[in-house]
Amino acid sequence: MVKNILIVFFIILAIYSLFRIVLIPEDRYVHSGSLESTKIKAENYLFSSDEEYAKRYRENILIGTSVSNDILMDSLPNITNLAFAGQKPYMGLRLIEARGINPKRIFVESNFLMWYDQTNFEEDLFDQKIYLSKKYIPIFREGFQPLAMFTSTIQSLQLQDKFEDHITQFTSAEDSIKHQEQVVARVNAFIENDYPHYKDHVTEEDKQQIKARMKTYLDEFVKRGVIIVFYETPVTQKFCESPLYEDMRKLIHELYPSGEQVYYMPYIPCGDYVTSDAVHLGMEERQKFAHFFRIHSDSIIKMTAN
Amino acid sequence: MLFTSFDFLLLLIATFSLYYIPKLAKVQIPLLVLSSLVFYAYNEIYFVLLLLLSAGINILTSYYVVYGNINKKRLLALTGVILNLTILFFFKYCGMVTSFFLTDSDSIGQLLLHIPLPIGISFFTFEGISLLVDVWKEKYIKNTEIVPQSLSKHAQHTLFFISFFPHLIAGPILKAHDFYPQIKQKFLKDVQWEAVVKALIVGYFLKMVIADNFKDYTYLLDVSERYSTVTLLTMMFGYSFQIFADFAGYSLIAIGLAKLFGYNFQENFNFPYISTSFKDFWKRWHISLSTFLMEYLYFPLGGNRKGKARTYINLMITMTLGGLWHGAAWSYALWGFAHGSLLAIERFLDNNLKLKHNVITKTIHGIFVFLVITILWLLFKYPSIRNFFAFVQSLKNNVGLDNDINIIANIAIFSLPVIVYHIMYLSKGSVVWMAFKKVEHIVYATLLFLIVTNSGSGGSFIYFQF
Repeated sequence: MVKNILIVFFIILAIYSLFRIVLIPEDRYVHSGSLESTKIKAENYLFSSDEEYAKRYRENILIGTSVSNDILMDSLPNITNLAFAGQKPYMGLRLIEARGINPKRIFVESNFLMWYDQTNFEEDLFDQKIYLSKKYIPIFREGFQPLAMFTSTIQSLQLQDKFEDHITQFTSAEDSIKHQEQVVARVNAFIENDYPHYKDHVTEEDKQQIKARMKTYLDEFVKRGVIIVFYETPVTQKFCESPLYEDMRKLIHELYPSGEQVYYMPYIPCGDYVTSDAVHLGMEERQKFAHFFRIHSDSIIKMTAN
Repeated sequence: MLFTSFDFLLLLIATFSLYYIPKLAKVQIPLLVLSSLVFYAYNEIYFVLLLLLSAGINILTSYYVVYGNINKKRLLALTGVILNLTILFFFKYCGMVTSFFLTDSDSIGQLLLHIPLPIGISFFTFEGISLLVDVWKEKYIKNTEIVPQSLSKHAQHTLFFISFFPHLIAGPILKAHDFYPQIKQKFLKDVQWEAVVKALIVGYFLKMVIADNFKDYTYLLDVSERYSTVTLLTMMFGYSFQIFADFAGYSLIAIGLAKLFGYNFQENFNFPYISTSFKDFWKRWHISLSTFLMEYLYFPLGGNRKGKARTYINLMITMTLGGLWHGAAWSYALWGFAHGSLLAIERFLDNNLKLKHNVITKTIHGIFVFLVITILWLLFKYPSIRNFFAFVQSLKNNVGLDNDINIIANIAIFSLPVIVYHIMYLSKGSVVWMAFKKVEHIVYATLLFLIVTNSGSGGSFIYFQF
């Protein structure tokens, strides 16, 4: 029985490897959810060959959280989005470090640099044994998972649905008003829930930890001549004007004053954008922000062309 | 160290390679003890000292219960039990109790409110208690069959019993009367390879493919206010399947690993989600804990021998303490209390209503039991009761939100193997079962293939936190 199990296992593995690698195009990855698509994005960046890297990745890389992951990149063809939903910006920096290829510029989302947690996801990604097996055996990578193929069709339908900007139909003005009030109440609830994380000033101890962390991650890139561009994504006004945000802006400027290698995109006035849940933007606001980002990133890229 | 880690695989290969070498036969037990201590020390090196202390207490007290002053047997056994419980209380419940009197503002408060929780302490403490009670009461076997004359040999056996790595950090909870008689030299020819491989494949499949993939969705229960009612309900059921897959998977892995070294552990899960009553559920879920509580708490309290009212009280006490064993939070006590109440109510109804059961009533009852158990698992997911009520509030308020098809579809897909697993048990002996037996090797090979290619993101086992 044990022998039979192992023989059948190797046959299934061989058949699936051939099917996936030979018959399905290399860029046709499937994912069953946002966490898996995050893993695929990270693994593609880490494990692509030098040729693929040159084809797919730009000399400008943007790192951040889910907020930056949502930036519409169609109008930013010169920038690679290496921001990850559910992760902190430091993840992106670790990936660039692990890949070993220095971009010319790194656009750093500064909103959440005060927080850092090394998740299981990161540990798995950088664990040497898992890293090597995934690097040399593509079938072990995310994006090749058999069960994901069942849900990938549903996923693509859902994405289509999202980008079509689903509009709720109302049968009366009262319904519409009620719906809007519910949406506003929900967003306010998100704000009230999360505001405790923002209401206090950064303590001295936290400041030292944040400084040490930022210097660990960013200084090496600066030494190697990489240009760092800080930008802030728009969040709800209450967070934007919070003590934590104010302290972080001062701290980042203190550590990395504007200069030859450090640039700042202008800060968006608090309250200029409407968020869907205090930190993320709806579709229209994302388009507005992409436009803003393009104008200012183009200007910085031109300025630092040599 | 996780069973799903590469480092564990290396430790296992190294241990197994040496274990059955004939020249090393005499050091089989010390080899397993050494591996087990390395396994435990991997993440928590200082707590190895605690493990050794616990073992030391149990070694000495159990030895002198058997070979010491016969008039002091009871005193020694009780002293040992109290010491075990004191250690458990200090590391696990001290923070919870002292939070009523102290705050973080002074140094004593900072110390007592933040005592680290050694992994596995709930399990190895209960095993120590099992040893002491078994040698004192001699209810199952003579105490000399557990405790040999030689103190050093007893020390070796007891350290092995408590630290043996398959069960060390998340059970099954071993009983001394079951385990000690098995301690002897083992031979490679006696390894039940088919049983080992099957247990490991199903165990790793449940953990790595089912539980770890569920985890990638059910963590969103932490932000319940963002999801529709239907999505939340789906995640709730997903969590119920996740906790089963995680824990049953771990237990099967532990059983398979123990068999590899010639030791048999009692099965810990017997298809619990087909239970048609709460009493049935507790005969199928975490069997090693429920039998431990029955043998070492419920029966000593009087069981059902002291009248109906006392029986119900004994059930409530046993289950509430059983709930609290899971963690130092009132939500766990509430969970245990709820199960105790349900058992008591069920018993009362069975005694007084004498309902006739047929397939239909059993099915309805089974669905009801599953629903209630699933809802109660939320007390594990939300150790703060405030978050539990926030979830209930979200269920009420979020009816109009769009459903997240991606989450629902994925939870449905990963639920299928759990449902099929239970259905296969129900179909034993039938035509379906016979067909399965013919292609059994293909099924196991497919599970193994999915373990290799379709695992979720790595993570510790849920029961490690207990």
